Amino acid sequence: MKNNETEYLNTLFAGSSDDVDKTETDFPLLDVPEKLSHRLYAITESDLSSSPPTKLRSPKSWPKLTSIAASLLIAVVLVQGYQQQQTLKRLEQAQTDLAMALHYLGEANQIARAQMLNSLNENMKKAAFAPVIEIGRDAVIPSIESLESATNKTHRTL
Amino acid sequence: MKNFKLVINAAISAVIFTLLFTASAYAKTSGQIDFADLSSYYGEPKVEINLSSSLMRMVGSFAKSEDPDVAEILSNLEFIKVRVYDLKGKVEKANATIDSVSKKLRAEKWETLVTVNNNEENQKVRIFSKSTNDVIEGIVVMVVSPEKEAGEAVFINIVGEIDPNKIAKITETLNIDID
Repeated sequence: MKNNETEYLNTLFAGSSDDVDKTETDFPLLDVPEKLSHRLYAITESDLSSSPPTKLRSPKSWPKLTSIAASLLIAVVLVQGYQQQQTLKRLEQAQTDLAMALHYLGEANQIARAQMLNSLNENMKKAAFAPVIEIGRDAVIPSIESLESATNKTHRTL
Repeated sequence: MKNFKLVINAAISAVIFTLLFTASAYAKTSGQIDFADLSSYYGEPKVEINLSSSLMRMVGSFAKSEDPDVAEILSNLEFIKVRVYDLKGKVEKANATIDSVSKKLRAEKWETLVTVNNNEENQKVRIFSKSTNDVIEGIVVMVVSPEKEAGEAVFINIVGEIDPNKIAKITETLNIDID
């Protein structure tokens, strides 16, 4: 029986490979062995009976799906938590940096202010004391000059 | 017809993108200056701060609940750069840098706000500002003070709309101790 099937298949394929341009009418008409036809029909029946979506629909796959979904959810929550932590760290760092920048700005401002006040004070002092010194000098110089002239006069008399 | 519409849409979006890009680039560079890198002479800076506008806005948004004014001030700032160097007793290079940067700023029409030359104490302070229509767009502060340890040079550049009177308020709100 098996020999019949192989013979049939051999003649079928040999015939088609020998002459490709052969028309359908030229094909040798052979009787299909009964067992082979049964098998061929059996394949189509099994194909029809086993539809792939039934596997997904079966309640057995739900626990798997739920566990995958749960682990995905946990992963998402963890990633979000990590990102939030990072953002908070960045924020804290930025706050410290900003405070430090402003601190140095304030220090520079203080130095500038102190220097300006110093120079203002010095100039004010100079402005206040200079006329007194000038007045003093004006008062002293004529008296020295008069003394000198007096001594000169005495020398002359001598 | 469909292709024509697609081409027009692509062209419009390209133009908008270019405009936005150039505008932001201009805004970033308007008050921003480059201090000379003194790390080759004094080593790595003691303090190195670069704060972008996005970071300051973030700080501002968190401070909003405490003080909305501070949030507004921070939202107007675009960039803060700080460099602090330990001078290790050598003030000459830092002073020379201050002079060269000052020269450059004056050439770029920055306004001199403060100039202090204390030759006795070897102290130098320069404060420059750049403003348009009475709004300060940028501030540059440079200080060399030999008082601290073996001397310290501070370079600060702030870009954005600044009201100097309000700076103290931010420091108060942030309330962070700096030693």
